[in-house]
Amino acid sequence: MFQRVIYENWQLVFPIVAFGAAVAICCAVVWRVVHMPRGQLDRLARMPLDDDPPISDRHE
Amino acid sequence: MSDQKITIEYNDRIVRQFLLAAILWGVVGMLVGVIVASQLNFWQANFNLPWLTFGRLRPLHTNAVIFAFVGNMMFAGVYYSTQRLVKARLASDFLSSLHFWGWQAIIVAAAITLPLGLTRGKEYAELIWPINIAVAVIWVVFAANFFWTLARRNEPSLYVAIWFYIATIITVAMLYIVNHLSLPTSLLHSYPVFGGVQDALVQWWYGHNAVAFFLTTPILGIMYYFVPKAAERPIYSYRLSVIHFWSLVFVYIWAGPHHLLNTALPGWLQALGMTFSLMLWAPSWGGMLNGLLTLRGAWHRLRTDPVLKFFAAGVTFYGMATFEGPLLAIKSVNALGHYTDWIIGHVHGGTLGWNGFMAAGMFYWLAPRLWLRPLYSPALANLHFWIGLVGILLYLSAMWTSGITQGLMLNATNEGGAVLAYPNFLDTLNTIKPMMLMRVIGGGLYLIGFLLLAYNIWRTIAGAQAVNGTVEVFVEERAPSSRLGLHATVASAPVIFTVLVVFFICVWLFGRGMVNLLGLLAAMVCVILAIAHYQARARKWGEWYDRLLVNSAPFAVLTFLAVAVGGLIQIIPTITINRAANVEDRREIPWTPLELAGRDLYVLEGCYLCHSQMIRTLVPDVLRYGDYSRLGESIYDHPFQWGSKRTGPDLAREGGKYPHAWHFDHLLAPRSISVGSIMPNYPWLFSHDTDIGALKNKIDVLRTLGVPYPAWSPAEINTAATDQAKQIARDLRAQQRLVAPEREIVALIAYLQKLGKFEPVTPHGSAAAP
Repeated sequence: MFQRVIYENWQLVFPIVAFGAAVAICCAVVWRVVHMPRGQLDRLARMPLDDDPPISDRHE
Repeated sequence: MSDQKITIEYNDRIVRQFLLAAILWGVVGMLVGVIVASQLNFWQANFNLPWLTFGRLRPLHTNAVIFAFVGNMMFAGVYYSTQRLVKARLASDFLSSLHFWGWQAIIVAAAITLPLGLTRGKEYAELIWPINIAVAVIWVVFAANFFWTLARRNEPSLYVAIWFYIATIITVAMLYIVNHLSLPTSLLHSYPVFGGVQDALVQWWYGHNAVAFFLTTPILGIMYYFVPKAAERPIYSYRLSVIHFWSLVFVYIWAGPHHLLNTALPGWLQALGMTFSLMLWAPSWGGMLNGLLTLRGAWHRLRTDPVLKFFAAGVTFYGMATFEGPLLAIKSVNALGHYTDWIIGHVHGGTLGWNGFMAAGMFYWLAPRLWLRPLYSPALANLHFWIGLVGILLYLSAMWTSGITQGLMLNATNEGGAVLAYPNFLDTLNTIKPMMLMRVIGGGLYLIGFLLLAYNIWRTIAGAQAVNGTVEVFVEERAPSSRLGLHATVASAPVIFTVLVVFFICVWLFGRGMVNLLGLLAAMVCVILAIAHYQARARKWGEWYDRLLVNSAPFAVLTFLAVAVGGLIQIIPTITINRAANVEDRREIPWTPLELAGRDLYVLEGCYLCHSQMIRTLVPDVLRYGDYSRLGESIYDHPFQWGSKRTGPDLAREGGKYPHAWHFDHLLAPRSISVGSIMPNYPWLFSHDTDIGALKNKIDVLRTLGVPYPAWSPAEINTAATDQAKQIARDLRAQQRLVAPEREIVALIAYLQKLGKFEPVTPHGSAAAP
């Protein structure tokens, strides 16, 4: 019933290469963030809390 | 270096404007959603009026909730958080106002044109070309204002939320421009430059990533800012947020082809879409857990704090939707779920649960701060939460049940797979009608909840004084060493080694003989050299990365490269595929002038929203609709009409199945032919005349785009269209249906009767399929 003519067999390498590249990039990012200094991480993580005080402080 | 202490007043006026606009358009968009859901239950709700039919209102619903509701909400959140994270007022009040009023003008233009049937015929990309240009201009205004603000910032580091905003701005611009490339035929009409499979791929590359980069990444940025604010504790893991960002940006852009599984799309692209969709599980769940675990130690506050309730539920729905998405991208699951209500349920899990609840949490948190008055009624906000949650759960359970039921019924076969168990499509539709009604109830409850929000916010701000936030900062002159120009960005060891390795891998993959071998060896040598260089200069690699993160322009360039590569690799090869000389064993016959006019009516009425034109390579599809669709059978379709939903049956091989009189009666009163049908009546097609005069420009544009039309004169086009119309009218008269040949119904019948017609060809470089 089905006969799909495939002209682009060589293009099947794209998913494989793309998968490999994405995994490599993810590994590199993981490696990098694992080695980020603790102080830098804490400072960055606290950035949203550095601005205006909570509303309750202003009203109560 | 000299430090100076200054007080900065934020531009919170623009935040208030966007917040109020988001609430207003949210009500409108959700109301239209409930109306279109009702139309699927009660066909009478189409009111026999062209501008109130499902096919025209459904694009209004999707555009309103995506671009008007979430768009305005996103801009409010981005502008509020960015100013505070970079400790700088928005760079330009003029650009901010232009952004706001320009965006609202676009929304109003969309709300007028879509019900009038002025559409490009591509989902979530329906707006006509003049509005497309306006969107692109206003998006550039947004980008300029945002990046200018970053350039003037008083905080050197860029918090992860800003990264998500940068990715949003860059990627949406790229997606929107590419998918909206069109050639105008008039002031209000155009044809996409892409056709057939290429148009399908570009559309779903855009469509999927509109979800990714318009509905997800900016809201993730908002999550990373507002959840810590509401919980009053830092994000659970900053490390995880960095991994979340880069993984998402690199992976998301590749997943679009999962919308076209089991279709005529080349197999390698389907494999690519499925693979990357499955990979999305990891970063998405990493992000969800990061958001939820930020509430550690604050869970007890969920009992009383509506803001945290909305955020916790919103992030949970993000996790649910991003689990379900990859699941549906598995080919075998997709064979069941695609074209059914399951997909609608999946989408609404994300939009109602993730976008809607994150928006509500943000609005409840922002309003008291922007107007300096406590929330009018936390109890009402809690009521909103529970009504909204029940609404979502009703909606989702209804759509999951409906979708899986219909998928199972449509795919069910007897006698060893040789005969369909439910050959009548209407049997499956009638079975799911109770679920479709439950969707209306669920959606209605969600809308009621949102109306409570509108009332609560209104009572909060009525009579209150709007205030702008301020901050005192020490303005430091940035050390020259922290700057990273374009040259320093590109001429760095990480970038050079990456480019070399990719280049040599390409040589290895595509080269022949010795070149192939040399490519492999060179790639291996580069990897070894990169590792050695890193070992020797680890500090320099680290410094480059750290400087990259505090320099928004190079960061934006690299983000663009990350998303552009994924798009280019998918789209460029299809340019070679989508040519007449390189199809499978069939080639589309170009539409005659009258059929083209009919096709434009089909697009105008939004028929593609309920009817697909793509018979998948699945046994039940072929048994029900005929031979599976070939790549070449839609090669001249600008825009493609493969569809994404089968509320009605597939029409790919509709031509010649029924006589003209059947279509005549069916379009006038569908239930006179198909008892139980929910299709609207189209009486105006029997009184409006076909616009034959517009065909000359349309055919010229299509010829420019590669459709093999001869250089017809206007008179020749007119004669060809009139002759064919007269023939169809004569046939109808013979079947006791009287209609003037110039009426639109005649053109539409001409189009429908052509569907599925093709010319056989011998495929390029291969034997023809039997």
